[in-house]
Amino acid sequence: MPRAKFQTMTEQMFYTLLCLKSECCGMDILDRVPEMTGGTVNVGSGTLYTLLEQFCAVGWIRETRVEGRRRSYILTEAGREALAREYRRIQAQAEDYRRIFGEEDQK
Amino acid sequence: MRDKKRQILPYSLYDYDAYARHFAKMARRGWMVEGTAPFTWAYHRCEPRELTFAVSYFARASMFDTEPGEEQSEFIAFCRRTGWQLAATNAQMQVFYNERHDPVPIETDPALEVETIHRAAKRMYLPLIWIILGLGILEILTDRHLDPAAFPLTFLSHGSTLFSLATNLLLLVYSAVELGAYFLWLRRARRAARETGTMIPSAGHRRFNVAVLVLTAVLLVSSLVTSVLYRELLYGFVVLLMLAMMAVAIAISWQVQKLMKRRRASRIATMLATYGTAVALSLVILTTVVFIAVGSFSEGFLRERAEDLPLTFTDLYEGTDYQESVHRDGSPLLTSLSVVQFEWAGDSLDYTLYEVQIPSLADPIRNLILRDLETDGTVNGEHYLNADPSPWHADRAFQQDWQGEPLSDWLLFYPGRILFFDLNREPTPELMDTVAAKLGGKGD
Repeated sequence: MPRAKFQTMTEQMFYTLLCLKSECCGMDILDRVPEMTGGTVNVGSGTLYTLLEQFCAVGWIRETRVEGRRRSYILTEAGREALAREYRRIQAQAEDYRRIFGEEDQK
Repeated sequence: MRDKKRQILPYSLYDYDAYARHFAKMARRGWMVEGTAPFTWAYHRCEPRELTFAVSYFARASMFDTEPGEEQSEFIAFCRRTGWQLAATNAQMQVFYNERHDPVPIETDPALEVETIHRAAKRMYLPLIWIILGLGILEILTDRHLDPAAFPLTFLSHGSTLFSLATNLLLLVYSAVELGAYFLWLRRARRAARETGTMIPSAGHRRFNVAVLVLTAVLLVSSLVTSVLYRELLYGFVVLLMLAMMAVAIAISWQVQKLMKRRRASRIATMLATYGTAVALSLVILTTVVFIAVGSFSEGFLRERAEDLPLTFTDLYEGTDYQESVHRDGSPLLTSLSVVQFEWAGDSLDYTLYEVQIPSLADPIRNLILRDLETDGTVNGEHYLNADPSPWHADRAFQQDWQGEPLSDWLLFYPGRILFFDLNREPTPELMDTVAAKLGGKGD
């Protein structure tokens, strides 16, 4: 059965939204995501372009400024809620792990 | 030494892996892809380099854009930021190269990538293939020579019909395979992206596409050779004329498109100018071809000569002041010769002679016609009665009738030949001997 759109986020979606807590232009996200994750997550330029377009369409981010080819975006309240939902989902997974394997296994 | 080069690439639009591999190979050989021309990709000479190529798709791009629009420019700027330089575009298809070793791919989310490709495909590629499929079906359904009543004689004796049928079938198979393969790839790619988070390799069918290209060329050349061999000169002449003029029309439309882009015209204006030129030139071509073909025919350039007819009016009658109409058709399977010669209010000679070109086909063709005669007594919509073949020295003979009344039309079967013969009078034994000798091949 197909996954409903954005029901669960990919890492790339999660970190892109995270970058937009403060106003940020698209091109900067391309640098910030690998910086933020120590290079473990990279967002391709085409993928980022599509994500920004789709996040705008569902109202999770909004465009704030256009300077030439640089468009800046910021997270909206709905986007913030979506991020929080995803955080809680990941946290619940981490809790489940902790419950099964215990604290000592975290090291 | 040449600095420019063009190539026809037999890849399907969504075969991004094949394109990327090919452009990388060309760069290693010192050729950088720079754009497209009608049916081809263009390259310029460069220092041989090891580059990574990637083909991406931007659904809102158009082949009529003078330069990338605002959104596309932003997309290209994103790509530049990660080291991807735009090398060439072909409508929605964007070709990038990267000098970095192991760069971050342009697309890193398989599910989004599949949908991006599908959005681009829906803009132009899929509608075009559906149109080709529709036209192929329409052509076959409306071909009057494919009427079961015209089978096998009219159908098999028209080289032009056989070749146009083969071409339409080829188009039909090509478009069906292209669509089938695309939707199969789409289904698999969506499933892989959903279930394993991976992008499957693009699945083109390059060998099939090459085979279609080669077969199209073979069909075209064969149809021209056949038109000369079997004297369907008008058909061959029209095909050649159409091809030459279509090439000119495409070249002119392409130049108009380039001119509009140089003048920085809008997408709509460029599109209207390009399509407008193409439509106007097509009408001019059609009118010119018809005009030249009809003119050549009426001036006798393409008209059949009566000298080498096997049987003429003068072989049977005294008069020499007769009107005539001669028509030949043919294919490698069957040829036909139709002759009508008549005096005003006088004698007439009217026959159509079919000759089977491949001996092993003689019996199947004859049996098909005999089967019709034996079941409902008709051939080509006319009713015939069984007649004595011996006076005609034929294998089988049938005489046309109208509500039981015999007419002067005969259908005669000779080895490898089928003859429809109308004399407009009662045949004499001498005349029957002459017909058998000259048209039935019994004179040797």
